Amino acid sequence: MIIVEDVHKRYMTNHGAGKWILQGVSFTIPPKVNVGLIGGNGAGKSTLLRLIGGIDVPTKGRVERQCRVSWPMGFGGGLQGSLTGRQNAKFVCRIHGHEHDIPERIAFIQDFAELGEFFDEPVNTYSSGMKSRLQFGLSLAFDFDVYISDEVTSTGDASFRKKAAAAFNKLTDHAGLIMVSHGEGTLKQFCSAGIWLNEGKAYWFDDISNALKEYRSTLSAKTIVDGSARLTKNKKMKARALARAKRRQDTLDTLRKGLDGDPETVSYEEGVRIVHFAKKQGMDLVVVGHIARRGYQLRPGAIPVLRRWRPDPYENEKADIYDLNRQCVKVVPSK
Amino acid sequence: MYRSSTGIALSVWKALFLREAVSRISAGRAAWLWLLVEPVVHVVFLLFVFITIRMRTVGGIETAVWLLAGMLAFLMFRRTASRTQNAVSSNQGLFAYRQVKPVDTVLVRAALEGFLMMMVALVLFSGAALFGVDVLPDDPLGVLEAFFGLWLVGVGFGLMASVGGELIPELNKLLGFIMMPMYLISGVIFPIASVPQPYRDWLMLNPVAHGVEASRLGFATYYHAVPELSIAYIYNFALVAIFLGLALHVRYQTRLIAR
Repeated sequence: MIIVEDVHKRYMTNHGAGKWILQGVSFTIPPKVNVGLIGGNGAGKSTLLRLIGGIDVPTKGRVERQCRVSWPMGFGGGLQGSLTGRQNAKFVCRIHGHEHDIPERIAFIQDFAELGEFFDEPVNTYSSGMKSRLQFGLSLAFDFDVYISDEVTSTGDASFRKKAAAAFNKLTDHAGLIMVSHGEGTLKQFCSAGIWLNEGKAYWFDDISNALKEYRSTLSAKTIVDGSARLTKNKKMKARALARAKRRQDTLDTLRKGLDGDPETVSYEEGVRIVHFAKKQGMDLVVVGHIARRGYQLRPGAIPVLRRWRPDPYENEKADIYDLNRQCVKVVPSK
Repeated sequence: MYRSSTGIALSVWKALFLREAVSRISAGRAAWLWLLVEPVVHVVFLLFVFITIRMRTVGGIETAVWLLAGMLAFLMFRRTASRTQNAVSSNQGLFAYRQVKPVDTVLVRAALEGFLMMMVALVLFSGAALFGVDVLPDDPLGVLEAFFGLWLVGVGFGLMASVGGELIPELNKLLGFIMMPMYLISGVIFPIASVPQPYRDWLMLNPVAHGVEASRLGFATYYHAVPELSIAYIYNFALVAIFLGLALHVRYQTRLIAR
């Protein structure tokens, strides 16, 4: 069982304390439950993994590990570049107190990582895929109650991913898994529960697909654009879709500029496009300014002004989450 | 499998020691050779200078012995100090394993450096003996005492500097300024006994100067060492420095690991 209680984290920079990455994260991971961490880039997934893995300490709050937790595998941590794969493996065996059966464990790691003669080459000659093979093999060579994986499976090739999947599935009988991945398939395949990280808070979902749904609804515009372009197979249609996507991207850029920065004034045509787009996307959009009275029609000549919509601080927390994140923009006809 | 804290620390030290040793001795081309080259070049160069100015003896002992004893004693301190100073920052990746604490890396590097320095000293003294220099010390225990004291001072310095340098990066630059004139003020290339009072007292505040002189005195008991020489001063200094260094490591352990 891993208990995370009111964890706050921010990193120290050269110019003092940085931005809060995690703000009051609390959850409990029961034994033998596979959890996927979901969130955009910079949402704090890796930070949370490091805190759970005990290689970093929270600025505030506490993390309690009532079981043996592996070190977070991923991103080359814990490997020394000038030493060979074998030497690194030996080191890890030694610090885990397996001095007596090093040969067996090395054999296991070597067999799992399938690095061939590269196993005796310095680690800094490895590709990122090879590094994650080694790291993955390393952590599987030891018995933990919970394994922590930071995107290790995503860097390998197809055969390795298959192997990793088999290994993970075997693990789930006797151990838990906490993983970060951007692959929805991977997450769904391995994890039953999910934690969605957003704006410094964590939300626990017993079912990973609900967490993914929540996450998808806040996906950035770019993904939507790419997605629609990818779906179209026909070349002509693709070109048109791309043009459409491009227009949509422009609109979104304007929209986002308005939302993130100062209030932005746009032209009438732009305004119409924005409102239509927002409607189609199922977004709510706050448009403060001169807009048409009837429905969402803009009156010719009127200039919509976009402002960031701020959640009401007095509303209860749950409402905040759903309103703010599922539908981040609100269309409101102005008076 | 349950392991005691001591057991974990011991296995970590062993693993770290082997790992450090491998990368120190076999990383790069003939890395082990460079361990020897530095003292040899220093000693040969200075010997050349001393021969040119016709100085056959310093303080009553042969110049070569005087230089070797002083230089190796000084390097014992400096190598230990500078390697341990960077131990935490260069092993940052290892803290991914919870077993490895910052202080482990410092202590292990210190042990390795002390061990290597003893090897280097043995090789150099044997080499010098082949050239006909009388390197057999009159008081071997005295030499070991001096070397060990300097090593302890180096460890204390490294323990404190490794924490200080991580917390205040500017401190590393300042310590660099201090290390530069260390070579001079420790009396490696001139006899401190020749410095008039009250300046000699000031120079003798530096524990390394005591150690360097004590090492020479161990080689030849008739050496005219500095009268203020005190072995106790070296060990007291080291004791305080190591205590402070360990205290800093305990106090700031989380800060060293956290990014």
